Amino acid sequence: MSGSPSFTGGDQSNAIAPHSSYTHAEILDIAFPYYLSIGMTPADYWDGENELKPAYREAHKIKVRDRNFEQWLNGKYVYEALCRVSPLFNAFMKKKEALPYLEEPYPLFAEDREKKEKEKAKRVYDQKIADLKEKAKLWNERLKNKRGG
Amino acid sequence: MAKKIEFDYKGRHFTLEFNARTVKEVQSSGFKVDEIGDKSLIMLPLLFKGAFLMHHRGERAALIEEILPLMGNKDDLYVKLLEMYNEPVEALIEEPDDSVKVDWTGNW
Repeated sequence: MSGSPSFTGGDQSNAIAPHSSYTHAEILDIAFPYYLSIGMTPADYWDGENELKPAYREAHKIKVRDRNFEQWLNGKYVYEALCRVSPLFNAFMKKKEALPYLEEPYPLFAEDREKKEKEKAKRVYDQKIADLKEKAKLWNERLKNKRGG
Repeated sequence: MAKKIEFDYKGRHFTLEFNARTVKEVQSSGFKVDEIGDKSLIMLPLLFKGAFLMHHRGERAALIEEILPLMGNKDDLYVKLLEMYNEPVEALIEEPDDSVKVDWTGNW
């Protein structure tokens, strides 16, 4: 779009001011396809409230940001998967065994992270209790054997 | 907040405003911003008439022509009409208005 006017609300370097050599109608015609591309209906563009246009641009920014995050996350999963299978491709490793893929997706929201941390803490706690029970059982058996013997 | 001119005339409420379509229509009717200075007697009534299109399309031209001379403070009126006319184009480049805040209080 270099050299052509821009009404995207983002990069203002080549944006037209309302007092440029373009007439109002020309500016509105030039910007029309851009607004269609970000999901504005022709009716909203031509007949809707003027405030709709900045709102559509803002909504588009949010969509672009979300898409960017999605792509980044996708790359992170691919990277994770590659790291996990990398032992298979290491010629100098004796034990060529891939790590299993993630059991569940990354927790994205604070409440998910908290839930996951709590679950992890509970697993550790349960494991410790199970270990203690096992040890107690062994001691009891030893005691029993000593007394019996 | 949308720029509007509101007034009552003969028991009716009128709202003057422009959107993208009515800006184009006003221009098609012969209105040119550049000629406001030289042909103000032609251009400004066209602008006033065009401001009715968004909310009062089909309003009788005779009624609009009857109202215009009765509008007080004409200089300010034309400045406001021009600002309104610019608004659909300005909406293409300005940021969303988040300055509007509503004050509220709880009673407990």
